[in-house]
Amino acid sequence: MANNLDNRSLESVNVEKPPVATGGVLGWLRENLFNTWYNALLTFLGLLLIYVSVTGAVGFIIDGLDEEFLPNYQLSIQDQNLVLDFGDIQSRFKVDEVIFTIEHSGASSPIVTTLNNSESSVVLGAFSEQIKISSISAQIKLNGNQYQLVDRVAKQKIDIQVSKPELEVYILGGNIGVEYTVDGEATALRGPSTLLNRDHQVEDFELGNMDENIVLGNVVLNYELETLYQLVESEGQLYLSVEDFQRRFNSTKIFARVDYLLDGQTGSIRENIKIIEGFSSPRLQLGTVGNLSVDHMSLGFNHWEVIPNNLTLLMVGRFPRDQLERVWFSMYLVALLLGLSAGIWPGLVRLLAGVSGAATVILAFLPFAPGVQFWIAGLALVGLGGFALGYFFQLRRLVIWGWVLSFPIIMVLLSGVSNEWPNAEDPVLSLVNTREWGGLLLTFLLAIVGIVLSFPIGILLALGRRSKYPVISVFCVLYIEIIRGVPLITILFMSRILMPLFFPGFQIEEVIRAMVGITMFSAAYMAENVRGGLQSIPSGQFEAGYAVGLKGWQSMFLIVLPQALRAVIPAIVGQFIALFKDTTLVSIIGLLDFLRIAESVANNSNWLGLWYELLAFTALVYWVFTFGMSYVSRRIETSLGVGTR
Amino acid sequence: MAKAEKSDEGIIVCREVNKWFGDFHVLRGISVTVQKGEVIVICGPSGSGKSTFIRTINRLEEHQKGDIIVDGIELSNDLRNIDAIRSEVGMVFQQFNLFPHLTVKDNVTLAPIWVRKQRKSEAEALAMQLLERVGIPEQAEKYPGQLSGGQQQRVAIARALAMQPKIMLFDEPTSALDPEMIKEVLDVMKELAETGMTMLVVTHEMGFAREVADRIIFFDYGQLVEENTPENFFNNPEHDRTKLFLSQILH
Ligand SMILES: Nc1ncnc2c1ncn2[C@@H]1O[C@H](COP(=O)(O)OP(=O)(O)OP(=O)(O)O)[C@@H](O)[C@H]1O
Ligand SMILES: [Mg+2]
Repeated sequence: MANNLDNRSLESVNVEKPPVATGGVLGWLRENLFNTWYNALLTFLGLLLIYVSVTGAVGFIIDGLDEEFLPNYQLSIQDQNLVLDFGDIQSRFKVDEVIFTIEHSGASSPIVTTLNNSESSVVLGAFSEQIKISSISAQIKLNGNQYQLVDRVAKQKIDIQVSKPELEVYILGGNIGVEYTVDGEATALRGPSTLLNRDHQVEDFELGNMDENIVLGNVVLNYELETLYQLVESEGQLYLSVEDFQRRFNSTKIFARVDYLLDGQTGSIRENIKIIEGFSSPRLQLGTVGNLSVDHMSLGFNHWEVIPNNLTLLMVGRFPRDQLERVWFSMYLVALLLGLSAGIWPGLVRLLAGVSGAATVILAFLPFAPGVQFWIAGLALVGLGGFALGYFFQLRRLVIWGWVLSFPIIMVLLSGVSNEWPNAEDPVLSLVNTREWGGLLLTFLLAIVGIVLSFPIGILLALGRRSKYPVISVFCVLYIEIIRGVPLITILFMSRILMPLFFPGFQIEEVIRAMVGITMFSAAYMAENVRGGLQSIPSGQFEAGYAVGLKGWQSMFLIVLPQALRAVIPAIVGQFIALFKDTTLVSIIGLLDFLRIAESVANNSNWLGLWYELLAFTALVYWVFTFGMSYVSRRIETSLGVGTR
Repeated sequence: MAKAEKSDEGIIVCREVNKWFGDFHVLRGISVTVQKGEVIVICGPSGSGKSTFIRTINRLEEHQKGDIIVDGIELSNDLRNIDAIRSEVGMVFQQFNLFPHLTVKDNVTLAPIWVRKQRKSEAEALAMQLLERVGIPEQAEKYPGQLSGGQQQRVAIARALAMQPKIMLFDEPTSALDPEMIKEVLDVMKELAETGMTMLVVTHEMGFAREVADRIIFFDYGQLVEENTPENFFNNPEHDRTKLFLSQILH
């Protein structure tokens, strides 16, 4: 019987081939890239985007490599932040010498510095913390020839002022590693903004808007022995046993560490300098050049007063102290919204708000800096008031809009509007440079921006990767795979160097660049997480959506995406936690995040070496927040778990 | 050509419908006309293209040759036509395909709210009415995962009905169910047929076919082999292939 069926069916099968679509490359192109007018438009936009980014990047790379272009090699970034990276030149061509001429305004006299560089890059970020650089130009000596380096951002040459090394020597501070010449000897130094002239006279200079007790680093002098000896003689506070030193290092050079304390607006190295070396200091011992190892045992672990004493610094970094209420108002806004939300939505939101509220009340009773308790208590009150309002009035829509708008409002609060409004003496929201943001505030801002923006961008990228339009999917795949192949640090550096290339003429602030970099990075990972979730949803869900008449995007956003996201909550939260901790990397591009501020406190003469206390504190803070995040994620999972298939 | 044509001849008109999956010819010149209010049962051996065929009617699958005209609208690449047809054609799947993240009520109200732009209260009232009709009003606030298979399938029917479709497609609605639940779903379908709904049902439930169907269509190897009244289909099938099929499934 079965045999019979097979035979008959074979007979009756009229073998027909499917209607062939226009084959070949052109057919494919037409079908995939230009089948509708909006697809064609997409294709052109995509190609344009690829063209712009590729030519930008390639131009950068090629210019960097081409010897012909070397004299025009861009090394300077104007205004505040200086990253002078000439790695390509250095690695491919033997650089004999690089001479920078830096002019700055703000201090009493312009600084003219000659740097004899032997490294492949010079980061002069910390200059800007004290001194506004108005221009910088440089000459580079390659194989004996001297080239003028031109500011490619401004596309114009800057007049070079030939410096006279014998005239003056300044020690410039910050996180700088530079070398320069004193009487033919290479001299390396790094440290805070400190000026020593050649006669070892300390020049007082304007430090600008500096907080008390902020120490920005360590000065490490690599002086000629003789010079240092003289210095020791002229400065009563310097303790140094020259013989010991010589014996120890078997060198005519001496390496020492200078820590200094700035008190008040001006810092004077004469008053505060301490050269500490192992054999005379009870607290500290000298390690290698520029590295100081602290004798922790003699310190003990009981210097917890370092935390409350530096709390403001740890929380907001160098945010202007007379503007701190703006930070508080931002927190009040959040507390209010949290309270309102808790009043409206029971369950998880209420729990979260309750825990934050309780923590706030506890904090208000802890002995922190006087005056702050009132602010903290106010926070708890505002939250409570919000809760009552939310509970009785259920202002759902208002609260949702409040959350949406809170971010731009906080950004405006923190960065200011104008120094002129309503009048120049007493502006309401004076401008605060984003470089002044620091500490936990900066860490939060970076993490929140990264999380809030990378989430939707990641979803769009994941959807784009599955798009039936090849232009979109190829773009998304390229984006995701390129970003995932690059370390975050590289992206942060690139955002610093490349953004001015892509957006010439725009001065994009460092913090914003870091935010962009972090968001771009996180979005790529987000996209892959979401894609994993999308793949786990059976196609029947789409079909059911279509079958009831939903459009494609409706099926995606109402049916498939919610399930997909729910499936990958643990992965997404894991990534957000990683992002939160990864914000510490921004210290590498000169931003003073929470951890970096803690480090700077440990370099402060008053609190020198109190690493354990500070690290324990930062670790605790990071842990509290990451644990909070993972706890919330678990709660969300269980509360959503009701309807799992 | 068929676009302008007002189909007095049937609510679904299929003419020489052909479909390929790659080089594999799944549907070979299917021509069927379904009148308003008719209940058509489609049967045939596994892999014969039954599912594929009813899925072409609401464009879950695209056909490559031939015409399909549903309620006077021709299925083409025009998205507006596809949307129009989909909101008039309800479908019930073998695997239910309920939305697991939504409650039963939300499953039913989703499309009316988003596609028909009904107000929420209105959609919910309708949903409760439909859940009543399929016999599970008390499950409205539960999630699909908390229901039995038969209950889930009835929710799926209510969900399709919420769009007030003119045509209902059923693709083996009882095949994934335990035997004791099959009846509750078939009863709902019978009740639906009695109210005059146009229905295309792919099923192996021959009892249902005999009792409810106006016509039975037999598919084999992507071809429409036989189209007959239930009585003739079971008692005197015209084709050998039909006989063979019947002999295999009726024991
Ligand atoms: N997406 C697809 N791609 C390729 N081939 C497919 C696809 N869907 C179905 N087919 C093939 O088309 C043929 C018809 O499938 P279809 O699902 O329509 O059969 P059916 O008659 O519904 O069978 P059953 O009774 O088992 O459900 C089968 O051979 C199947 O393997
Ligand atoms: Mg099937």
